[in-house]
Amino acid sequence: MEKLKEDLPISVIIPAFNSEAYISKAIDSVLGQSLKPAEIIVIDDGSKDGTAEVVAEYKNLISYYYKDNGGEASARNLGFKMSHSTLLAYLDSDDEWLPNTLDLLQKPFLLDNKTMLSIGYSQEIMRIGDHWKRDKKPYIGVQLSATMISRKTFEIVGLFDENLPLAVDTDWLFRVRENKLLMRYVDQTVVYYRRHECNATLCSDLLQESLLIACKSSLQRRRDQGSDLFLPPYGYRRSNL
Amino acid sequence: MSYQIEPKAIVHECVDGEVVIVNFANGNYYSLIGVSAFIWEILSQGPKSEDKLCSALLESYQVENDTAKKDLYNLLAKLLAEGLIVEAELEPTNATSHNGYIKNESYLPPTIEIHSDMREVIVLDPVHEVEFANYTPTTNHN
Repeated sequence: MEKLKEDLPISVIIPAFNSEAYISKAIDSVLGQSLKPAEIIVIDDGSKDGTAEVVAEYKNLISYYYKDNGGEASARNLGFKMSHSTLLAYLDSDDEWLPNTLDLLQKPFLLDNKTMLSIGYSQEIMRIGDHWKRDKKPYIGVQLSATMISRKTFEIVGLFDENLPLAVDTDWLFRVRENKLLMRYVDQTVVYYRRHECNATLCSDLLQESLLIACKSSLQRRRDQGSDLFLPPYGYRRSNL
Repeated sequence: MSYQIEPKAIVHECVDGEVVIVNFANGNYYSLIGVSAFIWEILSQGPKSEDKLCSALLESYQVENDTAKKDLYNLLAKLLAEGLIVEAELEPTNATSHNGYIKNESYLPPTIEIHSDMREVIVLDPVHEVEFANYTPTTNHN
């Protein structure tokens, strides 16, 4: 793809909560990018473990902010407020980018001024026995670690909803889609997404409730604002993987 | 025939007369209003027979018997097809708080609003490949 414009500055934002085990891998994957970001911001959402000590090893390369624990949305929002660039890329502290992720995600923004958000494929990695294995089938998920966002998007749709316990990304992406902002898909894997074992019932009950709230709020907004009642499909599947 | 709300794969909530349902089995979400929300609310109290549902409609709305019956069967068929209700295994209970309650709204044939735009992401346990590739970290760490 031929570049039509100069590179745009990118702020990388890493929200972290008790991430001492993985955050160095996340940060290393940012530092190893073929396209260098203008700044890297870590928002420590009140970690009680050694996250601060791990991040301190990168102190000249990273802006680190500690806040009281307020949940995913509040950490993402503070990251946005502390950032300066035209383009923003969130990376969850337990995920890892591929070496060319920022370059791949930035390309759609260089085509024209209409792109508001780009999104690529996520590939799950999970622990099987003693090893982390990679699921062979990448997918387009509601996965902010696979997304690049223009600053303007936040001016239009607002910040992340700090009242939601989960499904924060789903809710925010609903607003992007309700506003018909142009999302461009990148046909390549851009993130390794670490799938953890968790308390399945607790996780899934809360997630289901949160998803219901997100869907309900979106339908309500569509009716109130008189925008299109039906949204185009989110994501797509590649035929040849 | 008796029906009940699908017990495992869905979450639902009714606020201000609108029922929103998320189906984690097929990834669709739904909005029910008016008569279909009314029927759903009765089903949410426990398994109900078609007859019971039909008489609830007749008691609460101004509608002809034949119309109510036809519309009800259509609605139940759609709810079944979307996996939102299943045939009831339990003996239907008789208590229905809606009985005798006259709805203020006029009767409109019940419809379901089906939203499939999030299909790819709502399905909770997508089928993953059984086979896994080796995962090589993107950078070397010490």
